Amino acid sequence: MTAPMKLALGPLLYFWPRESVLDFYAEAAAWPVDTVYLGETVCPRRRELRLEDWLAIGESLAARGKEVVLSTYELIESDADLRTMHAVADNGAFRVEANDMAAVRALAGRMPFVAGPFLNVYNAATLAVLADLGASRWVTPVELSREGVAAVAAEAPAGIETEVFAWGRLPLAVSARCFTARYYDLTKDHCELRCIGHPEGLAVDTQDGKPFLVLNGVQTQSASPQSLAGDLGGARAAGVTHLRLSPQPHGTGEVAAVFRAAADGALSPGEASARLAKLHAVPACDGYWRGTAGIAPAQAGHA
Amino acid sequence: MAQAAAPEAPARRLKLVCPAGTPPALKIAVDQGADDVYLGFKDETNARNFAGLNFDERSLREGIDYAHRKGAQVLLALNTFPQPATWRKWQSAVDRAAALGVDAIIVADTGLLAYASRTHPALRLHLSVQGSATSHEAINFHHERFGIRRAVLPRVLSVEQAEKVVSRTPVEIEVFGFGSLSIMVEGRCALSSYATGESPNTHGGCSPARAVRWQETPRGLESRLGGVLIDRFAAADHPGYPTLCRGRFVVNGDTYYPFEEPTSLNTLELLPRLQAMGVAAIKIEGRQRSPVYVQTVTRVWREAIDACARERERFRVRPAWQEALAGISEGRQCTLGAYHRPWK
Amino acid sequence: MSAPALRRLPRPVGALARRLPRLPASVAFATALNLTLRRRFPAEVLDRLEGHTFAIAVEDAGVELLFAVRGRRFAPAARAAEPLLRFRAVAWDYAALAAREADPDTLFFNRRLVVEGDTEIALLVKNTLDTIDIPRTRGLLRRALRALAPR
Repeated sequence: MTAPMKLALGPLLYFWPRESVLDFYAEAAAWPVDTVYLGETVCPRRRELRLEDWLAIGESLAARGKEVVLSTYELIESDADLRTMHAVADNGAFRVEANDMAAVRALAGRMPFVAGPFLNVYNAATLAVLADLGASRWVTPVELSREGVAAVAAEAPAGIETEVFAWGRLPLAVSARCFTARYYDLTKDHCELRCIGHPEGLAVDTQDGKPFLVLNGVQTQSASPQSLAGDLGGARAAGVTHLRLSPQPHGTGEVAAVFRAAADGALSPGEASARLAKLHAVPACDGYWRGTAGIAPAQAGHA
Repeated sequence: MAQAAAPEAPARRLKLVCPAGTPPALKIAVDQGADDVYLGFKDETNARNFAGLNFDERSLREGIDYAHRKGAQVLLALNTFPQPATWRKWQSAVDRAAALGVDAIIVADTGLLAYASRTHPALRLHLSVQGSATSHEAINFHHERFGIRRAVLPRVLSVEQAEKVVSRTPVEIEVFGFGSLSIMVEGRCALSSYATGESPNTHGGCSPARAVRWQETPRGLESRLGGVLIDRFAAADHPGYPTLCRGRFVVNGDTYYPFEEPTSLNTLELLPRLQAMGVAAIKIEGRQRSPVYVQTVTRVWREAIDACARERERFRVRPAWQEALAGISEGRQCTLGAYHRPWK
Repeated sequence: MSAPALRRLPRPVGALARRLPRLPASVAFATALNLTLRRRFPAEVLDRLEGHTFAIAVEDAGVELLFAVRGRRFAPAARAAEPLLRFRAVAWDYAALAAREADPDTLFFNRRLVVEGDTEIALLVKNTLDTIDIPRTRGLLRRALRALAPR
């Protein structure tokens, strides 16, 4: 009998006012999540919270028994970005999720780290390199299917944990350009931080009226939340140890409660999916997990 | 004028790296003066895995012979990410590349870099743009661990940022000079697989043709990808291939290009700066394009690079070059991409 | 090479071409394909095209050439079901493509070359034609185009 799957609250991908962020994590302390990823990963211009603030949040969460991990930027461009990344890597208190190879280099051989979803770990050879450098957990790229995850996990060095993106809008792409600023006809350097007015990003629909994507500054997300609630048994069988839940402005605590109950067998996959469906305006998807187009509608309770 | 005769050390010549999707394109690129040509096997081990394109072992051997006879080098792109079920195929592609005598392989996957550097230490490694190394620290990581000799910079950096990278790494830096413009960070974009199940990372292609549908409708020509409506064109529009990031969508009632209008990258006017900062090579995009495209773009860039080496600061872009390049560009509009950031 | 000016057949030629019966033109075209291209098309490509009908509409001539692939050979086809692929362009642009004087993508972006139907097969055909080296035929075409080009 393996240990129960753990729940991880992924890094906050949107830009919220400072008070909203503090309130969110104050609430999160009471949610049934085991791990909390903190820090700004999307855009270096978002500075409502400084590293000290994140560390303070981390300390209060750690005091409530949470494992705290600080995440690095998913795209590093400037010297300032590199300095921030090093400050996170050298924080001295918490484990770090490396989201690019510069961060891996900064952490290699110094302390155990989490190999983030943007490191493109698609095979066991890549995971072996990272494990060699100190990775103790890997977060799968969103594109990797259940079979792919299982195959990599099966060959993974002993003790490596496997985390999948189990709930939320998928971070699909990152750019040097800011699409929120573009929407407002602003340049990136004079963006007026307009994304703070869009706590769930800007919805992008097709011309025939179907929800498709979400603009979140330099990041592009899926409009549908990916949900693996219908196949937690499959996730466990694939070797998944951690389920990542992505923060959203409303209902994240309920999402955590549903996943906890479903992972413990207290909720059937169908019931869990039905409860999650009420928390999001756009129906969930899980195509990536099943090895097909990511947008494919979630199959509640599939085998 | 008095100083004109003073001998100057010749500037280190920028290498011109040209695409070869087919054997005729390879020959034309070499004939027109490409220093390097890059190509891929006929399978998903490379990021231009399109029906009818690329090289089998025989045509690759002939291509290498042809290029080497004329002093050009052949770079083999193995720049997609193998998964456990297919790992052996990529591994064997590395072995075949080494055996056939390619001059370098262009690799993105960390595990594959480790395999190649361990198994074929004499084989020159280039870090693919799909490797998403956007800083000198990321590039140096690959140099320290796998001994990469050249890195292709993702098309997201400004000239100033690129210059800093060049000055802080022992690795040769290759930058994109011309071609179709990716606005997402290469190796970090799953939009295509979200709609179709296949992406550059996993299958070597963005917006696979099998998922594309064009349909004339009363509202205009519609392009769909994996069933998702990407754009509608009125008769006067120039339709682009339905790549997701070039589609027209609706945000709060506004129908526009949320990511970018279809454009091409063209950095001819930056040549003196790229040369002065020590960039090693300029890459031309377009392995999916015709031999006519390769001929035009190679000829123009050869002339321009040679002119730039001679003229340095006096270098001026010739209108005829721009006209020739505009004629083969997608979207009829060229930009300096991220190198110059009007959107920044 | 900027996109060349659009060149249409002189109107009388177009009118004349429209009066020619379609099938003989398709027969001649299929024969020409068998002579010039068939052996240069990889068998696996011909197999992908096997059993399908293709149309090449020469818009200024008002002519549509219909052919099918049967038994790895090109064969004339009568108007039947919707072809798997239909290309539409003017005679001059087809000739320029065959001569490698024009870039197919450029003509496509400018809507001078319209492709209807299965995009994957269209790319397969385009890429296969790009791999074929027939310098003598292309050279002849090129010279003919230059000789015919209106000043």
